[in-house]
Parts: sequence; structure tokens; C-alpha cells
Amino acid sequence: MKKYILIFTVSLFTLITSCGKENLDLNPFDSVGADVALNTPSDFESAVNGLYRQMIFGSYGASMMSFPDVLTDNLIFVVTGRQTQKTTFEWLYNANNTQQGFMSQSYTVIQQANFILENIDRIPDGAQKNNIIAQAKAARGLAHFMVNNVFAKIPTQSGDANGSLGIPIMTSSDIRQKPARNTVGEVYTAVINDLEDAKSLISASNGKERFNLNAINGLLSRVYLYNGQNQAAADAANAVTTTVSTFSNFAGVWTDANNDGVIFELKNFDTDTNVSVGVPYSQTLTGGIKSEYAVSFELYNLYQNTDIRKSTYVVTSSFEGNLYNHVAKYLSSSVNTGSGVVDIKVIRAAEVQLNKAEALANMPGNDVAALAALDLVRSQRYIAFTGGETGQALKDAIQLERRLELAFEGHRFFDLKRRGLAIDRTNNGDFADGTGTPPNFLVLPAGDTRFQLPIPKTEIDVNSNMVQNPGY
Amino acid sequence: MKLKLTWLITLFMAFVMQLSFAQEKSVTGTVTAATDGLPLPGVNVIVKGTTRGVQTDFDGNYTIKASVGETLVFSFIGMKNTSVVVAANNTINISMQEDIESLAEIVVVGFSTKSRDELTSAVSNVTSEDLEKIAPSVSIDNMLQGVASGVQVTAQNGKPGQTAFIRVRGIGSINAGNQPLYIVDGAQVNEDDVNGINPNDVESVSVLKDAASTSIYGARGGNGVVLITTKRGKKGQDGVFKLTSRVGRSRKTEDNFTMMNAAQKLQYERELGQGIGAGISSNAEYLRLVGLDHDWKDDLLQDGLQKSIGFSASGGEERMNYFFSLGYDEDSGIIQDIDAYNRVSGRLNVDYQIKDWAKIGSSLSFSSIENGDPRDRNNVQNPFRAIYDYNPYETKFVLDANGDQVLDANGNPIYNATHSGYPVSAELNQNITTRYYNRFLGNLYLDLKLTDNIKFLTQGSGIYEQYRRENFLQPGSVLDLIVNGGVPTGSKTDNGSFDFTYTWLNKITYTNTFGDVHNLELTALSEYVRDNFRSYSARGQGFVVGGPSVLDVAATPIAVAGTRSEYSLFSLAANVDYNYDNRYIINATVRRDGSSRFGTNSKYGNFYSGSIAWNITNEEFMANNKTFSTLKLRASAGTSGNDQIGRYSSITTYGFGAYNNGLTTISPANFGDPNLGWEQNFNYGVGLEFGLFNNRLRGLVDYYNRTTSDLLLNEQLSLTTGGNAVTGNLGEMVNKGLEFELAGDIIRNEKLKWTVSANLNLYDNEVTKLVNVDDPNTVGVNESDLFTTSNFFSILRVGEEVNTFYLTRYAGVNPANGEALYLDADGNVTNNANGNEVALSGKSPFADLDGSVSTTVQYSGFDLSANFYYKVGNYIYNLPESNMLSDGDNIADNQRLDAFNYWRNPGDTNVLPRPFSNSNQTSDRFLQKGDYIRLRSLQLGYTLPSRFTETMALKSARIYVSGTNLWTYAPYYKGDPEVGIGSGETQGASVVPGEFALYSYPTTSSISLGVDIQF
Repeated sequence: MKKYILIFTVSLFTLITSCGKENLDLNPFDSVGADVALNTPSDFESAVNGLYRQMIFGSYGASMMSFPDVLTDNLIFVVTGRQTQKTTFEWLYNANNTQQGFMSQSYTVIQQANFILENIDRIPDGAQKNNIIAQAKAARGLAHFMVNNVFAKIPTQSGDANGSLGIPIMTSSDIRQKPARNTVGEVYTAVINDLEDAKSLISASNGKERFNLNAINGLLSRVYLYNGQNQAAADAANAVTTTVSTFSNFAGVWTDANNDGVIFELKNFDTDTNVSVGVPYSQTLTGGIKSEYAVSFELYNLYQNTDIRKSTYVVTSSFEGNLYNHVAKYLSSSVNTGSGVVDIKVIRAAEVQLNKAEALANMPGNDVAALAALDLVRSQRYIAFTGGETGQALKDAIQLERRLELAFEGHRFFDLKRRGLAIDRTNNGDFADGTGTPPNFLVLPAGDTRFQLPIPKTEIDVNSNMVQNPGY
Repeated sequence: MKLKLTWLITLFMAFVMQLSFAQEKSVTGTVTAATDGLPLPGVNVIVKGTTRGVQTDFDGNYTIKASVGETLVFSFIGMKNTSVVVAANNTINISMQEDIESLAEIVVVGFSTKSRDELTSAVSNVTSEDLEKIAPSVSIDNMLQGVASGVQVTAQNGKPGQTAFIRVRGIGSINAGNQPLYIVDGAQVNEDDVNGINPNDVESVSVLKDAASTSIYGARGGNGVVLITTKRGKKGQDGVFKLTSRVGRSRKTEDNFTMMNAAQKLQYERELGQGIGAGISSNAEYLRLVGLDHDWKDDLLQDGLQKSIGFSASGGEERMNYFFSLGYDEDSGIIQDIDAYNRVSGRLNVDYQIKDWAKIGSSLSFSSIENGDPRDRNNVQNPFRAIYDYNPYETKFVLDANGDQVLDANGNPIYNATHSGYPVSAELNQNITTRYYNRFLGNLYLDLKLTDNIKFLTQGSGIYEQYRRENFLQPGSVLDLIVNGGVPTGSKTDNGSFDFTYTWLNKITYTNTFGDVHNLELTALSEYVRDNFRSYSARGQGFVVGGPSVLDVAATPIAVAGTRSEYSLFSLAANVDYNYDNRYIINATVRRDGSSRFGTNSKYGNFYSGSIAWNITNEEFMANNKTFSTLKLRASAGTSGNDQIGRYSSITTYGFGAYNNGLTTISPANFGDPNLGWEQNFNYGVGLEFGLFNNRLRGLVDYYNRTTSDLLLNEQLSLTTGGNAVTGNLGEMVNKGLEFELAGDIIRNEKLKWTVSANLNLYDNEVTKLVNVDDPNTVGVNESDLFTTSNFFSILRVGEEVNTFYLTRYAGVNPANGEALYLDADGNVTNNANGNEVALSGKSPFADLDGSVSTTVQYSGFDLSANFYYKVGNYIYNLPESNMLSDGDNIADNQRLDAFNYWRNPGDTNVLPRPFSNSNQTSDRFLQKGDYIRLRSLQLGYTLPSRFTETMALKSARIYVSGTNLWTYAPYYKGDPEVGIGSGETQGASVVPGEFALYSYPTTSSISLGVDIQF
């Protein structure tokens, strides 16, 4: 009897001793290892989709569609709002309170694009592979471009810009790098190389929900314009075949009822990404729209009554007894009716025409062509308009139209910055009639160091090769 | 052989019983104690093999019916059982011998139990009797505060049912979790599971503090081990029923500062020229607003109601013993309109000697908890922020011009959104979250005695936790209308998880004594732990106003989610105990652990320890000494580990998502280090225990030194690579400390016993290494600073205490213009706080010392006990104060009364900065010393004399009144100084306890009345 118990005991002990080992190699259920993640062409397609998803959540999503306008004269801080982005509006940002999320999220796109490019030879050569390379490079180039324009100078901004501190150009997915800053000139060269490579490799059949040939050309027209390469900008714009959205379609573009004139947009469904692009501007409550930022009195008055954009971009309604001009661009969706979230328009045909007009007007003797490009936009926005400008008047008209057309899409700050201009707000208040509380800070003088936002303190702390911008 | 004997005895017994059946008679006698000859009342006298039994009376006398040949068994706690066969004589007087072994304090250590004498390691032990005298709590860990030296207990917050932060001998880890390992009846449980245990069921809590005792737990013992042992029945004891019941009221502890009232706030607004007060145009308007003055605490908070009822039955026969209990606990909490907590719990512990050589048993318990408290976040939905932010002239409900309540379409008053834009009362009433936890904890064991010297135990333990959370945002509620653009929609979220952990333990023990003095115990064990976790979440919207709230009703499904993860641990361990004549005791342990959490290259770890103790009083040369009743020296050294990190941290993985209406996306989910391994603890210490004058004065001194190396830390990487944080073995930290305990019976006689005891713990912590290699390319850069995402105001720096505050230094107010002044990194005065942070040496959230002082007085039936807890040397960042003294920035919110003391004229000193001078910046202006002393518990009890209880057929009855946190003295910190979690959802899972306060559930004080009855 005892013997059996002893045998039983010993075998029990042996059993448990031998069964332990293989049970220690456990893998997660909801994700896969790096070696499994990217092997087949469809894996790579998914990884490219991951780039778009990441662009919605981080670099583009809510922040890029609002803070470059908050910085400028397009908007007025509403004192009854939730006080979000107040330091941005008042140019009181510092290293502890800067666009850190935007920076890290943009570089997350770059890191992932690099990971795709490093492993791309796992799939056979051909059109599909080229199209994946093209999208990864375009995403990397666009992200570098945006980060640079926020934290460093833009080439046309000042004479010293190209040699000044740019941002680190990242071409490896190694997460343990501590890169130093490249110059602005080097960053722009890298951006243009990426976009030009993308242009030569991109598939002709890509839809508007991903980088496509028109999008690459359109973005190139913007980059060349920012880089002072006017002819290249005009050429790139000429290669874009998408036409400007029509007057009748225009309102529907902003509720995603149609995407006329949109070249590239990040699709935003409430079933998957569900990013509220409009929240930095306002929330809709029972008592009406509660704005964080309203349309500035100055900008509102620049919209003529015959301008379709006036009713599309602005809604005038009261909140707690006061009348405001709220930003209406991201208020509702005909697709995501519940959440109201809308697609993010990365580039539109109207901007491309305005890029072209500006580039041509910058080169003597091209006013006619420039005016023609400008009128392609104006003819679809006004019931009637007086045109025919030349010279400086034409240049002013182009800039005015650019401000009106691209308001609240993250352009105004860069359009002032790249031309070396000041940000100059009027002393009007936050109410629709210009009364109310005016901004505490009215002018950011041209050449001020605050046009280059501070590098986040976290980055300075962890990256010994990083240097801070002057003035912080 | 033994088997045969048993058969013979049984046959013989049967024979005897048959013979003697008719000869029943009355046996009487007196039972006395052998040591002093005094009578022993309450001794159980049982006729063996029958259910006949009596107890001796107050004078030790008994009378029982028994027959010649039957055996009387006398049993009494602390005495050896005595058996006498009834013969012709009708009087049997018994003198009972003291049972030395059972009288000595039995301490549960690791996989065995020891008497205090035999211990070689530092262990704090708390018994059920101690626990009865402590401030009652529904969670046993909270009751340990100040009770055990070297064990620092901080309530996470004041939420009913919340567990505590327990730190054994300092801060052992930074990111890998600092909580000790919890073992309940031999099985590992999660920290939260402790909340499922009814404190009434607990027999003892042992805290293992040094490597000698923790290394048997290997990879998990690095932060100390808390062993909770539940009650078991006593063999041969007739069933005892125990009924405990308690009812109490709780209330937020009083603030040690004053907020403005309506008149003051209006005045402040007028002075600063902003807000309602600035716009008052008539005296009537002013008087109307002043007339609305009220304290929002009265509108949002309440006196909580606490109830606790417990019933237990325990006892046993020769072969079997049992403990059975049921409990119900309820604590409404202090938020109006919300029932915060209730728990139903039950337990059955059984041991059954099925053979002389085999025993089986189980400990089975369940608990069901329902939590109704709101989410812990710092926003307009938090009532604990609203009580300070809402202005005293703002009303709870919307009033019309006449001051009457405005009613909605259904005739209900409308909550006033206040200046915050969202009425918190609506949150509490209309956005209702309930959480349910059902837990089953149990183990089954088989204990075999293979030979006289070898025992084998196999034990399977399981913990099953089912968690369910339901959140219903009522359609048409205030928040619903906000998130759905004014259309009543309503949404419901159901989420929850299933967590099953099992442990299979096999243990062989060999014990023998050679030559009377050489006692040897050898143990070998294997242990396999596996955990399976699954969670789900489902959300839908579109509900009918006033209709049902189950998801089926939802018009639109919104989101589903589910996760799954596993964890396993496999271990082999051995232990040697050698005891020479109870004078010299040596213990050695070795353990090898493999964990699934670590990288392929580093799954296994080896841990070892050795310890030695010398019982000086057992030496011959001490035999004639009258002074020392106990004198013992011990020393230990050893290693243990920590694996409390994410389950898959060592693996780089890619996760899945969706883009463009359901296209699959792949993106990085985690960046891991394949060499990620154990966090190692090396621990050594010495201790001296003493007892003087028959143990009337007793105490101990312990010194320890604990080095944690290969610290598991999240390293923040450059934003240019995406700003990821990667877990690695990155640093080293040393904790040193001294522990003192002293207790004395100042008066000890038959009528009066007065005991005073105190303990003091000194802590010293230093981070000694952070990254493996200094980068030679970056001369002059201090790479020892490690920034982790969990730090808000503090950093890790070599040479400093862990989580030393890293802040700009505030330098007061410029008397000339009223602007706040700061010191820049070089110590020059500046008016800009940006980027000037420096490490504030010696200022961290961790205390330099803490301890407690307690006293107990027993006089006839009365007992009075009081326990003071004190803590010195920690700093807290007071975020609420930065909102309440906001220099105008938060003028819309109510402010503290001392906000009036701002700079007004050039030359003003000792003032707050000039309002609206952009002065309210993060700096050590709001860093305050957290020193405090608190009357943690006070209890007055009365045990009814036996002459009363006897007439009521009760064994005993005690009534008591008990108070917690009745008095606090905190000279520096404005607010309640016991800060654990600052804000649950701001800090997430990795809280640095006490780093800052931010409107988490406040500490409460309570008074309760209780009755304990045994029958």
C-alpha cells in the first residue's frame, strides 16, 4: 500500500516537473511578432493602411486641422469655451507645452514607413510592390514636411532659412536612434526626393482614400512653392487632373455627400477611426454650438455674401445668449450620421490651382496664366466676381482667395510664415458683431522666434543630440 | 503495522462499549492548571466517541454522565489534551499541563508554520485578535496600517472597498509594481482579490520582509509577501457560533483650509474685475446672490452608512474540523445619490483526517461585490472637484427670477449646469456606472504521511474572477444631449472580464530529530501557475427615454471588443531547516523560476537565501538569568525577484486595426526587448529580539539593506522614432532601513492590564544606477536621468531618492510688480518658470520615517484601544491648491479664502502673486511636506460578564464603539495628507503613490457601533 502511494507521489512530481517548460513560451493573442507581421503582399497593403490610420489618429487628425489656424488671425478665442489650446492662440507655448503629440505621431508614421521600406524586398518586384513603396515614401515625405514647417523654418521664410536648424530626417526604423537636426535645406531635399520617387512608382488606379498620382503632384506643387521653386510648383500643379469642386457640389464636400475636388482624403468612419476633427473648434450642446474658437470678425467680413464658402464654412448662431460665427466646416456628416465625424481632406484641387497661381504670379510675365488658375477657383465660389487683376493686385487676390478657400484646414499659419509676414489680429471680440472679448495678444511680429514652435522638453531630455530652437 | 493496530483498537473499543453500555453514572471533578493549581473554567469535557460533552464552570468543576470504561477527554486552549478512562471512582480531578508549543505564537512562513522561537527571518504577524481591535475596514490590507513594522500601508483613496498601497521595506521597484505578493491559504491571489476576503474570516496575516523568508517565493517575492491564513475549526471542539454586527456613519475628513463664501467670492471677483461679482449692478442683485450662499458639500455629499453582518460556525471532531462563515458588508460612501459598495461573502474550510496517514481538506470561498461609485477622473464629472469649484452663490437647481425652481416638461427641477457647463448631479443621477465582481477562491489538498518522517502534499488552488461593468447614459440626460447634438439617444456599455488562475503545488517534507537536539527539516517543492484572462466590451446606442437599459434594446450597435492573454510560471524549490536544541537555527533556500513574461533568452532565474538565528536565552549560561525572558539574534541574506510587468513586454509585436470602413491595418503594438529578464532583489539584514521581565517589556530592532538591480523600467525613447517607451532592465536602487518595535505592559494584574506599544521605521532610498553604459559621444550630458511616462512631477536620477520631485523653484513674489519669481537652473532669479526644473534633493513622495503608537487598556470587562499613525518626510504636489489659489486664472471657480492675500501695491511682501500675471505655473510653490499624525483608530469595548451571558445561553458577548480617522494633525499640507492615488484615470495603472493630489475619493472618518456574540 505504502509503496503505491510512494510511486504515485514520485510520478506526480515527475509529471509536473516535465510539463512546465513548453508552457512558458506564450504569445499574445491580439498581435503578431515582427517576423510574422510583414511577409505577404497583403500584409504590406495592411501596413500601408496602418499608415493612413496613424495619420488620422496622430499627425493629421484633429491637431493639424486646427492648430495652424488657432495660431493666426483666422480665429478668435471664445472666452466661454473650454479654454483649449489657449497657449497656442496666445503664443505662450514653451517646451513643456508644445505640439509634442503632433511631433511624435508624425514620426510614428515615418518609423512605420521606414519599417515597410526596409522589409519590402520580402515581396516580389512588380507594380504592387512599387505602389507600396510609393505610398510609404509619400507618407514619410509629407510627415517630414509638416513637422519641419511647425518646428523649423520654411525655405522662403527668410534668407537664412535653408541653412538653419531643420528637423531630423529619419530613414531607419530603429527606435533607439538619437538623431541630430538636419538643416531645413536638407529636409526639403529629402521631402522632394521622397515625393518624386513616389510619383514615379505610384499606381495610376489609386483612389482618393490613399496617396495617388494627383495627390503626389498636388503635394509637390505645395512643397515646391514653399521651397521657392516656382516653375517646378507650376509644373507639378499642371500634372494634376482633378478639377476644382463646383459651386453646386461645394457644400456637400464638407458633409462627405460628395468628394468633388478632393484629391486625397483620409477616410474617417465612426466604425473604425472615429476621430472628431471638429472638436477643437466646437461642441454641439442642447443650448446650441459651444465654440472654443470662432471665425474672426475680420475673416468673416472678407467673405462676400455671394460666396458659397460663407454659408458652408460659417454658421452664425447664439450660445448662452450671445451670437457667434462658428466654424461649420466639420459640424456634420451625411455618412456618419450619429457621430458626425468627417473625412480629413489632405489636399484639394482648389489649393493646387492657388499654388499654381501664386507660383506663376511670382515669376514675371505669367500674370495671365496665374489669373486663369485663380479664376478656376473663383468661378466656382461666387455667383459673380470681378476679376482681371494684374501685378501686386493679382498677388493680393491670390492670397485673399487662398485664405478664404483654405481657412480651417491648417494652412493659414504656414502661408503667413513662409512669406515672412507677421500675424496681425484685429482688436475685435469673440461675438459675431465683433464685440465681446478681444484677444489678449494681437501681433506676432514678422521674424519672431515663436514662428518656430519649441522642441518638446521630453525630446531634449531623451535625445542628447537634439538642440532647442532659439528663443526658448 | 500501524494499520493493524488501529484495527485491533477499533475491535477492542467496540467490545468495551458493548460491555459497559449499561453502567452509566455521574462523574464529577475539578480541573486545575498544573502550573499554579488554580481552577480552569471553560474546559471542554467530552466522552470520547460520543456527542456527550460539558464545560467546567467558573470554579473548574464539572459533572458528566459516563460509563465505566469510557474515556473522558479534557481539552482547553493552551493546554495539552488529557484523557482518563472512567473507572469505579466517581470523582476525577484533573491537573492539566501547559502545552508549550501551542502557547507560543504560531507564525505562518512560506510553505510552513513556525513558532516565533524557531524563526530565522524578519516576519510581522497579525492575529485575528489584533485585527478585532483595529479600525474595521472591508478590506484587510487597509487594517495593516501601523500594525506591522517595516510595512508601510497607504490607503489608495477613501473609496469604499478600495485596497491599499503596501510597501514592504521601502520602494523595491519603480515600474514593475511595488505591491507585495499576496498568498491566501497557500495560493497566489491578485491584489484586488484581497478585497473579496471577509476580514472576519482571517486568522492571521504574516508579512514576510526579508530574503530569508521571501526567496522561497523566488521570482515573485521581491516586494515582500503577505500571507493571509483564514480560520479553521479546532479538533474536538463543540461547534461555536459567532455573530458579528456593526453599523456606522462615515464622513469626509474636515479640510484644514477654508473656501470663500458667496459674499467673499463676489468681493474677490469684483476686486479682480471678472466674473459675476464684477458685473453686479444693483444692491438688490448683490443681496440676492449673497442670499444664495451655501456649501456645495451639503448638496453633493452625504454621511455614509456602513453596515456589516457576519455569521460563523466553527468546531470539529476527532477526525474532522470545519469553519463556516457568511458575511454581508455595505458602505454607501459619501456621495449623494450613489450606493458605493456592498459585498456578500461566504466560506467553508474543512479538514478531514481520512486515514492516520492521509488528510484531505479544502478552503472554499466566494464573494460578490457591487460597486456604484463614479469614475475617478479630474474633470467636470467629478463631485469631489465640484465641491470646491462650484461657487457658493450658484444653486443646485435652475431658479427663475423669483427664486423658484424652474421645472422641465416632466415637472422635475432642472440641474444648474453652473459655470462649469455640466451639472455633476446630472452625472451622478443619469450616467450610472455599476461594477460587479464575483470571485471564487479555493483550494483542495491531499496530505500524505508516507513514513513517520516524510510527508507529501499536493494542493490545487484556483481563483476565478468574473468582472462586469455596466454604464448607462440615460437618453435625454444632460451629457447625452451634449454628445449627441441635442438628440436624446442614450448609450449603454457592457464590459467585463474573466480571469482564472490556478496553482498546482507539490511538496515533500522530511523531518527528523537526531540525538534529541538535532532537528532537521528538508522540503522540496514544485509549483506551476497559469493564468487565463479574457475581456469583452460591447456598446450600443439608441434607447427609449425611461425605457429599459439592456443592450438588446439599443437601436444601433456601436462597438465590440475583446482581448485575451495568458501568463505562466513554473518553479522548483528546496529548503533546509536545521535547529540545534532550539539554540542555533539555520535555514537555507534555493528556488528556480521560469516565467512566460520574460524574453526567450532570459526566462529562468535562480534565487537563494541563507539565514541563521541564535536563541541566547536557551543557552545554559543564561539559565539562571532572571532579566531576559527572550533574547535572540538573527541574520539573513538572499535574493528574490519581481516579474510584475506586462505579460508580453519582451516581444515586439504588430497589432491590427481598421481603415476606410473595415480595411485591415497593421501597425506596431509593442516594442520589446528579447533580453528582458528578472528584476533582482538582494537583501541582507540583522535583527535582535528581546523580552524582559517575563516578557513584560518586549521589542525588536531590525536593520536591512535591500538592493534592487536590473530594475524593470519603461525607457522613453526619442520622439523622432515615434516616442515609444520600451521596458528594459535599466537600473539599480538601494533601500536601507531600521525598524524598532517596543511594547510594554505598564500595568499587568488580574483586574487591570495597560499596554503601550510603538514602532518606528526609518527609510532610506537611493537610485544608484539607471542606464547600463554612459554614452562617450555625449560628454557633459547627464544620462542618469531617466524619464518615464508615468512621472508627472518627478524624475529618476542617480544619487537621489526614487521619484525625486523635479520642479522649477519658486522664489516668491516680486515686491515691485507682484509677479511670481522663480529660480532658473543656475539659481538666478527669473520671472519665467519654463524649462527651469531641477531635481529637488531629498524631496520625494516617499516618507523618511513612519510608525505608530498604540495603547490598550483592559479593566474588568472594559477594553480601550487607540492607534496613532504618523508619517514624516514625504512631499506632495498639491494640485487642488494650484486651482484654489490660482492667481485669477481659475477665477470662474470658487477659491480658497486666503486667495485674497494677493499683491496689491509695490512693496507688498508675504503675498500671493498679482492676479492675471501668468503666475500660476508648475513649480515647487505647490509642493508641500506631507507630515502628519492621525488617530487612526479608537475603540472602546465592553465584554459582558459571564453571569449575564450564561443566563442568555451565550458563550460571550462584546459590544464596542469604534472610530477611525477621528483626529489628524498635518502642519504643512493643505488637504487630507493621506494621499495615494492622485486621480485614477489621469495616472492610469502606474501610480507613484502620493506624488500629487487631484480630487480622488477623499479620506473619510467614521464612527461605528458593533456587537460580537458567541454561542
